[in-house]
Amino acid sequence: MLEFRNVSKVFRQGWLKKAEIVAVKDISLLIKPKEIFGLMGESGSGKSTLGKLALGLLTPSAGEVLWEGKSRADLKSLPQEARLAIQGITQNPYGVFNPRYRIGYALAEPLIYHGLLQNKQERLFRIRETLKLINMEEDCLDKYPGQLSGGQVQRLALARVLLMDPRLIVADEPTTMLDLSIQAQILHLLKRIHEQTGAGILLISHDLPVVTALARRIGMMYGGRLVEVGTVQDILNNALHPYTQLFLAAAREEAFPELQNSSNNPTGCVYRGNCYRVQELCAAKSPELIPVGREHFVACHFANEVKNG
Amino acid sequence: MGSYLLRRLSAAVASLAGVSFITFLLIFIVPGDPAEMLAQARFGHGVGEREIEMIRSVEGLDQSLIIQYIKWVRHLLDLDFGYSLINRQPVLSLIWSRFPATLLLACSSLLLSLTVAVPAGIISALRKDTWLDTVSRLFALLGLSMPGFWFSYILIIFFALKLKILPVSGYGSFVNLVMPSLALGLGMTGLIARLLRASLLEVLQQDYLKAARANGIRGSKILFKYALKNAMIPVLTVVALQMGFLLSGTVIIESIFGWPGLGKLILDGILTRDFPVVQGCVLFTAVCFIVINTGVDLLYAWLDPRIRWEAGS
Amino acid sequence: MSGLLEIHNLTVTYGSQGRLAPAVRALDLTVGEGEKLAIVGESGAGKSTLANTIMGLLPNSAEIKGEIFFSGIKISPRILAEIRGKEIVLIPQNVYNSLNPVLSIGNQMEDLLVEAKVPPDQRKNTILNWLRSVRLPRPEAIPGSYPHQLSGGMKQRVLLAMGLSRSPSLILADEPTKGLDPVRRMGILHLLKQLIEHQRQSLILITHDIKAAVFLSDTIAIMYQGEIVEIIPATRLYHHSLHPYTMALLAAAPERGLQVPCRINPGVSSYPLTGCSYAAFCNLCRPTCLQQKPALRKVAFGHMVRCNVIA
Repeated sequence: MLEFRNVSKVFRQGWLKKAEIVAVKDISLLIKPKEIFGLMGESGSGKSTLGKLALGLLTPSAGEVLWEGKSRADLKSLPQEARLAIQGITQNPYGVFNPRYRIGYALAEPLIYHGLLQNKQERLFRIRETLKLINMEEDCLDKYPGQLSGGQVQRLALARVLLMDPRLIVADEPTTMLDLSIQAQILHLLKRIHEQTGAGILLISHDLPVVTALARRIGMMYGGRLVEVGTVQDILNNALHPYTQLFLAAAREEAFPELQNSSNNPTGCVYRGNCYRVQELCAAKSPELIPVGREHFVACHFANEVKNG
Repeated sequence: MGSYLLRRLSAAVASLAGVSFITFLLIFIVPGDPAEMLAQARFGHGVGEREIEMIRSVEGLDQSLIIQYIKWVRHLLDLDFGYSLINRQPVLSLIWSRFPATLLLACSSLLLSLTVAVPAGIISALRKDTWLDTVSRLFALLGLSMPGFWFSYILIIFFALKLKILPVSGYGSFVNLVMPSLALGLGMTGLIARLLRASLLEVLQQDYLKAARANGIRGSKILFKYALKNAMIPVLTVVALQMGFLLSGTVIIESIFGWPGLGKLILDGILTRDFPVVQGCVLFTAVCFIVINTGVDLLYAWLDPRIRWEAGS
Repeated sequence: MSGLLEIHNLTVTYGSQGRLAPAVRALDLTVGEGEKLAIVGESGAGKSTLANTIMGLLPNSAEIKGEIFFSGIKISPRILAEIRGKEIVLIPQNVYNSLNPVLSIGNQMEDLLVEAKVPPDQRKNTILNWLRSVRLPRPEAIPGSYPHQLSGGMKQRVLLAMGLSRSPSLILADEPTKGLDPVRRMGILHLLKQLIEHQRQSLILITHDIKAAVFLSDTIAIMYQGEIVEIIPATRLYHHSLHPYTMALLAAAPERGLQVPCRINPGVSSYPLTGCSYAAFCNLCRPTCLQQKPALRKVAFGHMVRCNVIA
């Protein structure tokens, strides 16, 4: 179980670190055990930053990331099992592998580094088992990453993650660089891994069909904030936030949006620059996520009014 | 932009302070007692303990390092670099008398290498993997790897001794300038040509050049406006560093050709243990480096708007 | 039918003496006046090579065979230099690196006006009009800014403005929707559609986004391993396509079944030298397919299929 508790991430730039970029702002979210959660939003909405915070690649500027109730602020103090419980894959799988090492070594290295399987025979056995899981032939172990296709390398990146026996896999745009047929392959694989190992998946993507094919719940991000959370049915059939509605309409090719205004509003609602419902209240106060259904939450001052007609 | 300027200038001031302190320490690092050296210079060899102690207290050499340093800096700010121990002239006027020769040599060799290296680098990049490129790269490699002093002697043997068209050494007319400029510019030419080729090849692959071609912009304009400006940025760094070295005087080349520049001054200072001269020259060199590098930083900002913006936001 | 752009028997090979398989193989294609054609395929299908061949932007190492005619004139490097950016334009794929980072937007746009011989006093206004035509907010602030100061969406619109500004008769758009979220994707697709329909220009859309192809074009050509395997009117694609590869491509989309194409005929090479290039994956494969190269044959009005079994 992964919990974000009022997590913010601010990047500082420039001389004297004066320029602030708020990537993620005050996010509270619970990802349940064995759940596939889809995180959606435009590029720059903070969804990748949230993924990196979950992985511990970034530390929150405020708030806490907790795994099984324990803070991940000091990873080193955690037992190894908890430390390795969250693993990730990214949209560029070639970045995972050093082009000068053979795949066999690249897969064995984390096992050696973390002292998981010291016996070479055991290690090889485990790697072979994992290769079967991802449908790869054993001869790939002797190859270099450059000799393999993008889809194959993405599967191997997944294998490398699986060797750590993760409880949650953060998949950040795992298929954006891949062709449709390869995408189908990877998505099937993620689904099977989820079913066989019980690992949860935090699937980060802006592709609606990809997310709905896998996820049970969806979180929509905009301008660093979580603007709507709900089950796939809640979102697809009953989206209440104006950005979610626009996003869905565009994905269904029913809306023809103009170039959007920037989401950089330091106060008030992040979406008010583009919102058709905007009122004075929106500039004064930033909306909290309010419940509108059993698992459905919307960050809009007028969500209940819209819901009730 | 203003903040970028301020940042560069404050960095320059900080470097100057650091360099001046290290230069100041020079007299204490040099083997021997500075008071004894001063006394010897003033009263001749075989000075007694009494004279040395007198110099020590008169010159303030018995005070703490910090106080001595502050005093020294105060003199520097009045442009008082001290006096040469050998010929009693002010160090600054010695440096000023030598600097024109060094500047002339530096500029002529830089000009020479740029006029050869820039076209060579461009042709090499545009005609990559043709015989032109191979020849140009071969010469660049040769220039880089040939030691300057050795090339100097080749030049002397060929032009001065065999052909007898150029004087072996000396200063004052154009013919004297040719061989030292060639000798100094050779390595630099190779370096700049190679660097420009690599940098231009990288820029030529960028999507914005393909887009410019697709938009129907003509070849020469693409090269000179869209590619060369971007490619010159790394080259500029190297040119600036080279210019710094050249301005500090090139000890070996100046000695070989009897060129009366800073390099020869510093060498003579070291040989005669004339530490105020050495100190002055080192400080002057450092100032040259800092001024040029600050200038290049400002030039970067002009060439690349991303630098301007990063600092400005 | 004579078209605006006609390609006859085009083969493009990278590397010397056919060491590598051709990226484009014996391709014939016609784009009519005002026609909107989408070339759909996966990576490695040869669609970018085709676009770069038409624009004359291939590296010197590429070997080109065949003929390309534009408005009835055979294209040579000299003619291409005349019409590039005027009659034919390319809307480049990589939005982030297709504008020169060290020159201001206005400076780069003005260079196009210099090429077009627009007098200096009219240039500023023309640039503003271009920027307005792609509906950029606050167009007057754009010419003075540098590429890094604009968002990806703004850069894409600037590139679009630069491409369409001189009313070209043929536009090549290379993957305009790649990596965009739905809101931005629909924004740019809608804008492109409006601009092109307004001026009745011809379009070649290079894409792997099937839905974008259906949205923007009249005709869709499916490419596989350097060949066109099917040409079909866009409205008929989802329900009437016939080639097994087209069907597999459609079925792989998450909303259409998420089916993984797999090698059905294990003994057959996936890059066969003779016969049909899709044989290894084809559920209709027959022994003749391994020997006989299928030709692109007409099956209905505006619908052609390269298959020995179907056609």
